[in-house]
Amino acid sequence: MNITRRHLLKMGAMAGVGLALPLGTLSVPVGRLGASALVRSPRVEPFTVPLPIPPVARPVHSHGGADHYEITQRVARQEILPGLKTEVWGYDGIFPGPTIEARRGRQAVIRQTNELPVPVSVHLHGGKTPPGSDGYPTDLILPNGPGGSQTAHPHGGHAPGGAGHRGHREYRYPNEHRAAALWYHDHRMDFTGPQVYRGLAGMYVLGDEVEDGLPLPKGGKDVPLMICDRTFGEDGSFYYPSLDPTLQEEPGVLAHAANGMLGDTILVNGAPWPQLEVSNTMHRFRILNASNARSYDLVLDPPPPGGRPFVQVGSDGGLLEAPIPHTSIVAAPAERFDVVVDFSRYPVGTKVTLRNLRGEGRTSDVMRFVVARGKKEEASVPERLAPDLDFPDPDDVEVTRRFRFIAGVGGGMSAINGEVFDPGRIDARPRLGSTEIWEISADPSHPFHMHLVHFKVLSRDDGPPGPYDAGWKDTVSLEGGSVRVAARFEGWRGKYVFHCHNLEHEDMMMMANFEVI
Amino acid sequence: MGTEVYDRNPRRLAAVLAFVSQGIHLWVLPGQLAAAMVPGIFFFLVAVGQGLLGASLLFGGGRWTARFGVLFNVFVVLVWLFTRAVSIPQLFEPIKLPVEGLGAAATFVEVALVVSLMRPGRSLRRKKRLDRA
Ligand SMILES: [Cu+2]
Repeated sequence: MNITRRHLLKMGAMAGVGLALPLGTLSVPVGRLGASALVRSPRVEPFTVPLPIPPVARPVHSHGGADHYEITQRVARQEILPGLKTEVWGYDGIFPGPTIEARRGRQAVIRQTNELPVPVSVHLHGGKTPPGSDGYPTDLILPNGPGGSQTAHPHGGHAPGGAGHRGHREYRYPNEHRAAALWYHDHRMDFTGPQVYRGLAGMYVLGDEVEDGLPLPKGGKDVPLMICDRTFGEDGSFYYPSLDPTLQEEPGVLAHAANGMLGDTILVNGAPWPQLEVSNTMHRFRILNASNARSYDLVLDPPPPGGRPFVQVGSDGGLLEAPIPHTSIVAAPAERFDVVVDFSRYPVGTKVTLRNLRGEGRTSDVMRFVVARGKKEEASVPERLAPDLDFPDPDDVEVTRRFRFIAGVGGGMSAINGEVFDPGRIDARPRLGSTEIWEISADPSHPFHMHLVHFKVLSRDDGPPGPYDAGWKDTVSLEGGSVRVAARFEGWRGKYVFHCHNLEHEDMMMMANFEVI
Repeated sequence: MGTEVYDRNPRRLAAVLAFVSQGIHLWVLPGQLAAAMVPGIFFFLVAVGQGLLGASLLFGGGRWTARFGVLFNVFVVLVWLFTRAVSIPQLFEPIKLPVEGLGAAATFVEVALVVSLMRPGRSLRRKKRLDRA
């Protein structure tokens, strides 16, 4: 009798302490992960909001071959979803930030002032920029006043080790390369994902005389399309699953988003599923995938008679030598595609939807064009776009390097060649002026981005380059498999990063340094 | 009923150590699982194992309880050592900084637990020899 009672007590204790207590504790994070994964944005009727065009920044003064700009990064409230206000962290308080229209050969000097509560770093993506202005992840502009800690608990215990400017600093962009659609965005170590997500991104369109001389669509028919995805809370706030939503202490995201935060609402130029009225003429679209992690396979629905709606005229690094027609445009995060769409192939009155074949439900729509009126065609796409692109000669290659990108599992770190980002470790030392081949392999999918250089994709999976690898690139999409790229390390000596442009991977340390020596 | 007669105190000590290890793993579990699943799930399983072990030991436990306790804690200590010796950041990071000190404390407790479980085993064998003699 005594033994039975004792056994019952023992069983009860084992069940309580050994099972119920751990399960109860487990329910806390599981509930947090589940609630986060289930956040859904307020419903928006697609194709009701007109496509906004970000304002063009005006220089505060221009002299000595340089245009000087002043941009203040600040918190503001903006109507993104109709009827709701969203707190954005924006360049000049707007999302997307003001477009900078730069000219080849004219320096742009941008004084960035940080009125946000966190450190920032500004990177001109695709820019060939001296190291001091490249927006190195620890080269921070600290906020004014208190709360200016750099990174309280950096990943892996590495001290950030970067210089901090307090309040403001100047970035100098020489603009010595060919006309191209670039973009600028935040690059703070460990926190790039949430800070770009809150709005720190803008277009930077570099023009030159070669481009001016082409009969491509111009003026109002040359339209930037910054495509990104966001999830919103019920009150219209951006929803991002940071472990520390103040972005002050613990970096990283809840485990369900560690392989990329995918939003349920598609924004173009900061508007949800917008609509653009066009004349039945050619339009040039500077498509930028500014999403943290989402890739798109863009098609027009209905397709124009005869198919191949997109004529690609440019890539990340500017104009192609010759146009390439595409049925769809597959764009990984940070890639740009400069395309011309000829709306004369549609009858006036047609509604043409830009769809994303990789989306599901609401994310399979992007925006809509309404062919609203007839107009005389003034533009054309010439057979030859840019003079010889002067790609690197494989015979000049001095060094071949291999980098393997492997994503973390369930919240683990993402690593390059098994190593996580350490600002103090240099993984490649290319000589100034040298040409190198870099072989990148990826598991599973990573958009590979290099600072400073543009590269030429030589091969993909040991075969020819893919349909979206043409021209000069600074970001190339890997979906498993491998690519070989050739780059010439020109311009400046110094330390730069290369990394995965899935921003959650980047923040989970999928980044490394090269130093041009 | 032989084991109950002379091994109460070492078993009670072992139970307390199991509960301490469980407590440490439960303390870090919510933050760890939210950020990284693999270490989070491992911490959960350790908490379950230590809880079952501790409760069983509290009520005397048997030879199989002691064997399970030794093997289980040796395994947990080896995993801790392995993940410190070999870097597999894709699986085991981010290990949060405060966890590191607690991890060392938990490991110390687990080693003590293994020792305390092995001593009663030795005394049991000695008792048996004495009984036979
Ligand atoms: Cu990646």
